[in-house]
Order: sequence, then structure tokens, then C-alpha cells
Amino acid sequence: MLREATLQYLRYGDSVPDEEEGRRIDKAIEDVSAASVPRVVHRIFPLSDTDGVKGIDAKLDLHYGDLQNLLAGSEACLLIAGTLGAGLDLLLKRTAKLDMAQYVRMDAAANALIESTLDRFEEGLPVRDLTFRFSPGYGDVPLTLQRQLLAVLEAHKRIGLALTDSLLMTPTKSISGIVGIGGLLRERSCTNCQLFETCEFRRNNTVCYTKKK
Amino acid sequence: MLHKKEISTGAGRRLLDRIGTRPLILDGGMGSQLQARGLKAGEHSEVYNHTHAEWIVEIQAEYLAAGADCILTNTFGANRYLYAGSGYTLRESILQAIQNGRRAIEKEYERQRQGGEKKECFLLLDIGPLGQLLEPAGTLSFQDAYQAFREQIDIGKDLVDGVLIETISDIYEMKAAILAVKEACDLPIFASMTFADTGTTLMGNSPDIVVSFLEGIGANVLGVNCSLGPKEMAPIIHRVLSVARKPVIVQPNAGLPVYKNGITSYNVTVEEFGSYIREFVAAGANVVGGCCGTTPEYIRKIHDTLQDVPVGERDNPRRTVVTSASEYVVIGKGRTIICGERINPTGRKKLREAILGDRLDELVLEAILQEQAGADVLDVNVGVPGIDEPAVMEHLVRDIQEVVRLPLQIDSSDPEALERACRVYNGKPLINSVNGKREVMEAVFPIVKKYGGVVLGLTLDENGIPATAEERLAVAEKIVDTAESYGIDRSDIVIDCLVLTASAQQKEVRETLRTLTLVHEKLGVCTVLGCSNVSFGLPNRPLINKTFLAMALYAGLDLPIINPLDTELMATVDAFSVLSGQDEGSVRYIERHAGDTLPSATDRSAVRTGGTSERTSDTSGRTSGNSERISAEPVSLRDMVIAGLKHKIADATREELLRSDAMTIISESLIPGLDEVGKRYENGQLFLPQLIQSAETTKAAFAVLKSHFSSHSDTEAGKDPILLATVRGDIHDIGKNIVRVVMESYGFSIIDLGKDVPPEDIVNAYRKHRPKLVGLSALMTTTVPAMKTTIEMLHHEDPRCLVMVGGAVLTPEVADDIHADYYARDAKEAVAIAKGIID
Repeated sequence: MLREATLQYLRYGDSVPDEEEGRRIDKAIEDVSAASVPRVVHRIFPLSDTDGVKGIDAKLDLHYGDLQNLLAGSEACLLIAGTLGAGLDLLLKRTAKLDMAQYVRMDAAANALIESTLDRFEEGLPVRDLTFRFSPGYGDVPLTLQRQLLAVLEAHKRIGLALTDSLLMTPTKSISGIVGIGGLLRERSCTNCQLFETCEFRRNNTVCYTKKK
Repeated sequence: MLHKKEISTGAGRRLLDRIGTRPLILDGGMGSQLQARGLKAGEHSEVYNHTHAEWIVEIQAEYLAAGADCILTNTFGANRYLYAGSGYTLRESILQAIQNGRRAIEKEYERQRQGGEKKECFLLLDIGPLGQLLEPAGTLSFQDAYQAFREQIDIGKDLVDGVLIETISDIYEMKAAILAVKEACDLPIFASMTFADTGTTLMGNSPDIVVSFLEGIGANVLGVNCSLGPKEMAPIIHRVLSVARKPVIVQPNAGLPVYKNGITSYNVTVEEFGSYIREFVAAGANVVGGCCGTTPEYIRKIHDTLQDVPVGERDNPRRTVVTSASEYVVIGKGRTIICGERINPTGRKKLREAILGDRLDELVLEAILQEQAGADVLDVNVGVPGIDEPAVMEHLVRDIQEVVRLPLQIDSSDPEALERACRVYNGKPLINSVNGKREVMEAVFPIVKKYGGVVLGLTLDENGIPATAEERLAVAEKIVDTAESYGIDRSDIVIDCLVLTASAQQKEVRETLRTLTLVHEKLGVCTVLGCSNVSFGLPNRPLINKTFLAMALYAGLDLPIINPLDTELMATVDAFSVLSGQDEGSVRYIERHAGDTLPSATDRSAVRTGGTSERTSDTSGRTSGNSERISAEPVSLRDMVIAGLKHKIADATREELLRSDAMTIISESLIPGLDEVGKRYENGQLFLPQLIQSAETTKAAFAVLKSHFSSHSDTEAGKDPILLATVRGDIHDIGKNIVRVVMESYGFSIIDLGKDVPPEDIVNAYRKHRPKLVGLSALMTTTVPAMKTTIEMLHHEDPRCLVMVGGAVLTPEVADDIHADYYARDAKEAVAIAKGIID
């Protein structure tokens, strides 16, 4: 599973690595897993409806069109964030100084691991019918919403996940998202993505996310 | 003479005196109390200082009436990073919070007067984390963190009785806060860290590291709060109490949070909470209170339950300890601690050139290799004449602690370089060095006292290096006594007994060894030696070195400064550990040497001539790394590039040079190989890691050719440098790194400024190196403005400066918009652009 996703991040598409390359990729996955301390924080809020606009009882603006679409039909809303921790960043930076090719493999493995960590966490929650994870910066939702989202989750205090001045998440292998519970939009799509024009994945006829089964 | 800064007057003094007598009780949760009254998740609770001042005063007065001796100002998140956009300035909110606190205390005094009681209450300025991660995990610089804390403290310092810095997950952030207090005022400092369920802080600091760091830097009270309930926190608290010598503060949450319907509650009852607090105080906790979820009832329980509980006695031994953020190293307790000597330009031309050429990367690599080789501590010395040593030292220490876990030994004869490095160091360093000269002691001891650290004292003074052991002991004694007058304990001193060269001063080798023994016996402090000097001027230096090392270890050497890449020297330490009984049951020795094969006589002679030459390494040092992407063992350099045989190509290149010249090798083997790899990558036959592997393979071949060029004064490939940087605010540098490797593989000489690089630094580097091309990378839309600014500044500096941009969010249109000269979609295009400009 992790291997599949790692290969996807390395843009393997339908190809498979040869034996030697496969071993290196496995080693990358192993080292990344060993250096990671995955932590997830979440809150579930009931959704209110004021004149057709969904909202929650916390300081988080949900009035954007794409978020309202996401939450249409949902009765509650899951806020979630996760990180693989600062120790992994140290290993990645260190590997970049020693062996750039292995660093590229490990970077892909780390991306796969953080996505699957959150996927599995969501699967383990006692709620069903989750929409895909919508992250600020996607569609018409500004990246600045990250500040509110992570503040409501107390992500810094609880899991050591913080934003930089330029709104990037640190440690770097981290994810945050807003998820509708009981909603209809299960699949992500590329059409609203800011990187639509330049996306390397699209150039290779693949996508950057795992499709839900 | 008294050099210690003492808190001698006022409420601060009374507060510290009070801690010495019986448990001091702090208040309980504020945020959770406000949430119960309507504060929403994600709101600034400090705004309530203005909008609901009465609530704040009421909550604090309730805590005091319940038995708290101290309350905290409602200023946890009142810093420039978290409080921006709140609608209030920091000044007005902090002052209002203090005023609310004073009103609560007045209210309590009024209550006491009516009840005929009299007890002094204290107000502590509450400082929480800044909400951003510091370097290297984040991008916030130490200096910026310091400024943010300093701003808060300057506003409140004259109006409170002490400062509580709490809920901090990173000792580095704590360091910035403590220095901000120490440099602003002499208020008592309560320093409290928060731990995760793994037993360390979220940034990986263990309780032992936290304690030695906080005691070293001079917190008055240290301890643990938040994140966990008392039950989960108990093992951490007991660990802290078993190592700390200073007063300890404990403030658990009311259990773990339980979320239901958007509401938070906590799972430990008042009764349970009280019994845990009793246990902690009986074990030696001096200051107790509650964190999230605790209420005045919890504090009343603490007050009542502690009536008959005296603070438990703690008499923990002093230890000589240095730490990084994640490693805790005890010197002199039964295990030889190895300090790696290799980051030192003395006698090493390659390192000297790297320092002069701003290629600190090469020194960082030395650090990684020594760590992999088994060093415990790394010496860092950048002493090259003509450089700005303090600046380079600071820079290098920051770079090394980004990728290496080991504690560092900051090594300079320039006190300013020592101070700059100590300031940005993350942990408790070794400081190298002081000696018996009055002037040097006066310059260095204040630095040791201020920042905390273990200082290395050389047994020499105004009269030079004494000839006899007894005289060296006398110098050591003078160093220890003087240090103690500065408030530095002798456990924070190690004595360097000084090694002289056996070839010139043969008799004094014995004096050095005797000094080791004497210093141990008479002063009870640990000893250190820089060993390699002993063999200077003699043949087969490694043999002399390892023999001397064995003798010195036997004489009591605790901390040899040696070359950890010298495997025989390292093996000598392992063998000594068996023979001295340190390595019980020879466990470590067997683990490391069970597979050793003994070299034959001829091999041994090879070792002698080879010595301990440079070596390169894989990430793990264990993975084979070499693939066979084409069926048979490749023979031509071109095929080796395609197969990515980066560990084999250097030798093959050297061989090829016997038959061919460098330019031919480049144009007929390396470049065609790379081009083929590029083609296969485009066609989807090869993938990114393999592309990079081939690029690195070519780089390895170029390294051989380069040394050949410089020795033959031939035309040097790529002597025009290209500057690369990821712009300020952007920490994702994988794209830039790929471009770098691929460009280097085509022979371009790259100066890589790294990631999150401020425009000024890029302009300065441009001024210094005058590159023909500057490549800038940005991943996020939020960092494109920084790219634009950088380009503006570069063009302002030199209108002819050519800038190439790339990165996930960039398009040719955006590149045009921000006035870039070139847009490169990927590494291949970057190479094409560079070729067009430079060739």
C-alpha cells in the first residue's frame, strides 16, 4: 500500500522498478517509517445552518463556495491535521547532503506515509461517509484559512505542527484538512487545483492523491 | 568577588525565599474557564482582558481565595506572532492583563482582611510558545524568537513579581525566552516545558536534557506542565525530580481532553488530582498548580491536601553533562566519550578552502561522517585568518545542528565567536576553551555562566605550559577556583592536560599522563586531551596515536579529542573499555568486533601508508547503492553514468585519465551518458531517483576530473559559478536540489545558498561571487512575492544580472510578471539555459 503510493509519487504510473531500484525504494520507506513519529489531532463539530450557510461554533470561516459545496449534505464537520514530526525532517535534510537520489525516494515515501496516516486515522473514527480532505489553498479557499484551522485544532501545542510566516506547515511532512461527515463529495478532482496548469503529475497522466476505493 | 547576578530585592526575592520554605501554589486553567463562559475554539483569549475584564478578575480572585499563592497574567498567547490580527496591540493587552491580575490580588487582600488572614500573593507574567517552530524544524530564527519574547517582557517586567515561561516543547525556544528575561530584568524565571506521551517533548527533548539545559542557563525554577494529566505525567515528573537540583514546578492538566459535540472536558477528578499532587510534592516538587481543565476546586484541593505535606528532600548528584536537542552525554561516568576533531582547518587545506569559499556544506558533511563513525561530541573550529570568525562560527553551528544529533564543542580563541555560537546553540555545549590567563578567564567565564555549558580549561597561563604535572595541576586549580567565583560549578569544567609532541618533548609525555591522574584525584573534575599532537614529526603517526591513547585512558582520560574515522583508534577505545572493566561482559566490544578479520602483514603495511584518508559515504553506509540497470557489469564511463554506479565511477575515471584527457572524457563519455539518461527519463523508461543517481554519478567523475584540472592548470570546467537559492519563506527545496545535482552533473559550479534565503543574502552572495546566472526557486504562491523582491533587488544591484526561476507554482507568465530573465520548467531546461549563457 505504502509502496504503491510511493511509486505513484515517484511518477511510476504503470511501470514497476527493477529489483535493485525496488530495494532502494523499500529501504527509503523503511527509513522514513522508522524516523517518523506520526501524530494526528482532530475535532468534530456539529454543523449549523444559517440562511443556507453551513458553519461551526469555532473561529473558522466556512463560507467559501468550495467549502459549502464540500459540506452540502453533511451534518457534522471533521477538522484534522497530522504530521510525521521534526525527526523525519532532520533525516531528510541529512540524506539530501549524502545521497540526493535516496533523498528523492524518501521524500516520496514520506508523502505517501503522511497521506496514509491520515487516511487510516479517518477510517478508524466512529463516523461514516466522509468526504475527501479539503485543504486550505485549494479552490476558492485561501491558504490563510490554515491559521484559523490549526488554531482551532491547537495543532502547535498538541502535535507540534505550526505555520511559518509564509503559511507553510512545519514539520514539512504534514497535512491539514476539513472533511464533511455524511457528505457526498468523496473524490478529489484536479479542476480546482492551483497547480492545474503546471502539474507534473498531470503531465505524466497521473494524480497526486490516492483514489478512494 | 561576586559575579553572579543575584535577585536581591523586592517581591521577586520574597517569592524565591518563599519557595525555599513550603510548597508554593499556582493557579489553575484560564482558557478552559473562559471557554466555559463562552470563549470559542480558535479565539484569542487575551482579547477578554478588555472585553470581559470582570471575568478575568473574578476567575483569578477565585483561584487566590481557593489557596493559590500566585496567579498568572492572562497573556499566554500575547506575542507578535499569535496575537496579530486580534484588534489590540500587545502593549495594551499585556498591561490590561497585569492590571486585571493586580485587581484580583487586591480583591484577595480585601477578603483576607475581612477574614483576619495575611498572606502575600504574587503575580507572574505568563509567556506561552510563539506558535511557530524555530529553526531547524521551522523557519523562525533564534534572534526573531528572542525579539518576540523580549517585546512581551519589556512591556510587563516592571509590573510583575516573576516570569513563567510555560508549555514550551522546544528547549531552543525556551532558551530564547530565558535570555530575553535575563537580558531585560532580574525577575525570577519559572521555566516549564510540556511533554508528549512518548516521554519527550514534541521536539524530542528528554527530561534529562531539559533539566541540564535549564539548570545550565539559569532558570530559577524548572518543570513540567500541560499536555498530559497527572497520571501520564508522573513518570516524567519523577525523572525530573531524580536529576534536578533546582526547585521544580508541576502543573498537570485535569487529565486528558475528551471532545463531545464541539465541547472539551477533562477526565481526572478533583480527588485524584489532589492525591497526585501530594505524591509529587512528597517526592520533591516545590511549586504546584493546574493547567488546562483545572478549576478553583482543584486548587482548593491542592491547598487543603498539602497542609501536612513537606516538600520531599532531593539531593541529586552533580554530573558533567553536555547535550544537543536530542542527545544527553555524561562525561566521566564509566564510558569514554569521544570528541571528533575533524572540523578544524588547522593543517587541512581542503577545509580551509571550503571556509574561505563559503562552502560550509563540506564541513557539515565532516560532521555527519564523524557521527556515523561513532563520535559522541564534535569539535567545531573555523579558525582561518582573514574571515569573520564569529559570523562563520554561528553559521556553521546552525548548519550542523540542522542535520546532526550530537552535542558540539565550540572551539575558538575569540570570545566573540564563542559567545555568538553559544547563543544559537541548541542544548548545553562544550566550550573550548579557557586557560589560566586572567584576561582569558575574565572573557570566557561570563559566557559560560550566562549560556550554560561545560568549559574546557587548558593547563597553561601567563607563564606558558608548565613542565611538571604538579605545576599544571596548580593552573587547573586556579581555573576551577576562579570559575566557582563566577558561580560555575566544578562539574561544569573539564581540564585539558595538554599533549606535547613526543618527538620534541619526549619527557613531558609522562607529565601529561601524570597530570590526568592528579587532576582526577585532587580536583575531582573530568579530563580531556587533544591526542593527535603527540605523534607530530614521527613516522607512522597512527601507531603512536593509538598507543598514547591507551596510556592516557589508563591514566584517567575521560574525553579524548581524536579522529573518529581512524578505525584503529576507535578500536583502541573499545579494547580499553573491555580491559578497564567499563564494558561489562565485553558486550559492546563483541557487538562491534565479532566480525573483524585480522589483516595480513601486507595489508597492515597498506594501512600504514594509507593512514586515514578521506572517504565518502552512503546515507547509511550499509546500502550497496550500486545498481546494475544494464545487464552486464558496465565497462565504459558512459554506461556507468547510465547505470548510476556512483561508488565505482571515480576509480574508473582515474583509470580512463591514463588513456584519455579530461575534456574528451567529458564530451565523449559523461555528457552522452547523461543525455541518454535524460532521454530515457523523458520516455518514461527511467524515473526521478535514477535520473538523480546518474547525475550524482557524473558528479563523482567530475570531482576526479576537477582535481586533475587544478593539478594540470588546464581549462577548468565550469569555473563561472551559478548561484542557486530557494527564496525567503520557502522551505521546500527538493526542486532546487534536483536542479543543483543535475547542473553539477553537467559540470557547472554551483553555489547553493540553501532554502528560505532572504533577498539581502542573495544580493550579498551575488556581490561576492558575481555569478553569470542566478537560479531562484519557489514552491508556493505565498513565496512568489519574495521571489519578485529578490529579482528587483538583484536587478537594482546589477541590471545585467541574469535570473532564472522555477518551481511548482511558476509559469512562463508568472516569470514574466516578476521580471525574471528565464523560466525553467525543469532541471533539463535549467541546464540548457545555463549552457546558453556560460558556454
